[in-house]
Amino acid sequence: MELGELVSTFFNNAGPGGVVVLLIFGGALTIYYSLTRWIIAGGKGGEATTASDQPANTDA
Amino acid sequence: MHPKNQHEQSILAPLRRITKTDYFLWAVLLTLMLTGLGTWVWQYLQGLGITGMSRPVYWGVYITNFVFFIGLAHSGTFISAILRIAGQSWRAPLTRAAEAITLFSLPFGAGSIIIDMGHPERILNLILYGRFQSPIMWDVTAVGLYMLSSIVFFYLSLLPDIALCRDRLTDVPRWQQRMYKVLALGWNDSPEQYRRLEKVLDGMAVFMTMLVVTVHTVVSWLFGMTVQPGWHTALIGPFFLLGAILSGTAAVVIALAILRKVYRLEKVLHTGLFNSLRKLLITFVLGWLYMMIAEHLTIGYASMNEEMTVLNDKFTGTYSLIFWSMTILVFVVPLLIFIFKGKNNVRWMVFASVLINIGMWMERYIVIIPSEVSPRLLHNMGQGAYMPALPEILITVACFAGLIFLYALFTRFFPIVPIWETAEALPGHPHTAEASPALGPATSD
Repeated sequence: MELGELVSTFFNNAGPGGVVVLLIFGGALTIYYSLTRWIIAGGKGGEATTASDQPANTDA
Repeated sequence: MHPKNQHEQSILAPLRRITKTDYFLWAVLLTLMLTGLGTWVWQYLQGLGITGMSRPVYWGVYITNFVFFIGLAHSGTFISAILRIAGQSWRAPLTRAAEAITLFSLPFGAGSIIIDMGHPERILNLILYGRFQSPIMWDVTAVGLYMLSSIVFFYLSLLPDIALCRDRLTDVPRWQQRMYKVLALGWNDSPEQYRRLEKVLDGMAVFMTMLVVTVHTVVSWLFGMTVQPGWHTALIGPFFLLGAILSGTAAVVIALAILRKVYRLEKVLHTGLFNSLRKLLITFVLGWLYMMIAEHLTIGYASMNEEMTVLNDKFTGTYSLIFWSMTILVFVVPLLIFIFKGKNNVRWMVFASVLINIGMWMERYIVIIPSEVSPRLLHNMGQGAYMPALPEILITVACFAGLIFLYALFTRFFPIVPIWETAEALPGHPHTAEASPALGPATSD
């Protein structure tokens, strides 16, 4: 199947769009879940890092 | 060790006690919401024929609400994410109040689409038979991802304060304490957690900024990708986006003013914040006017028949009263207030912001309805007419009541001002009030 045909099939057929939406939401959920776990896991080490490791202030 | 914040007690005070006024307000809002729910069931059973919509007007007040609520939702991301990237530290005390508007208006925006569909189960067709040829699929993807990301962004920035509530609010009911314990996810205020949290929020702020631009542009493309007069213009994306940020920022002013008055947070939500928002609003109002003129001048200069039918309807015809009222409410009066009265005056700022939001709702209405009443294929479709019917009005009222209810409820159980982001010192990282301009005096103008 040619690439152009594949792209055309994706856009013009009923079904693939729904799969893509589910994949996007599923991917986002997985990433956000992992990030949340990673943040919380920062407290399991116990010992505090030094002040110089901290961000300069609370803003970006 | 929790963050040190001199305003901690005044920020936590509303969480310690629910007043009779709260219960009364919640009861009124719940009644309005239940009325709307009942009306929706009635509409479900009877069909959309009971609304004011009929061929060729398929989108009425519901879609107006959809665009308006999604627009309101831009406030949180704008204040929190975009100003975070820009390093505007004055935004810190008002980030949560703004993000909460995002969080609680998005469901009513997305919900309005479902209400407009008549049968909510049809949403499944998007998954079962979805095709990306349709802008509706773009919309579902963008709005859905925005909603999910907003929840995560909001929750993550709330985490340290939930942990603080868990440890400080020992005099609240047991279920409330348990709720804090569960939601805190075991947060223990370690410096490493703060470092990671900052890192993730910074990264998400960039992503959220891209999303916020995408979402309202895609919302506008629902209209722009059709060939209807008044809609088929490349300018519709930025026009919608700017309008959204304008109404969202105005909504933040209203929310902040109510919060500082009701919860006595004048010292935290100081006048300087309103002065900063005033400058932003002046910029947005002028930007909105620029878009208005560019859009209508281009259409008017070309004088194409189908476009002119809609344009004349807005300028001198059926919708002229709404169009010119909208212009006065969004541009003329607010700009005069911002320039001559708004500085250091919260009441005038609130008045102007209320006018802007009423005007912006009218603007959404005036964008949608006239184009549908006089569609491009007028000889095939026929001239339409539209007047919102009672079910649409009741459901609209219920949506606004729902937004206020969720917001009011949230402010009674969670700190509406981020304690850790406005703290003088974070665990493992002592920094002074001078280094945290968010706590500075009202001199930002």
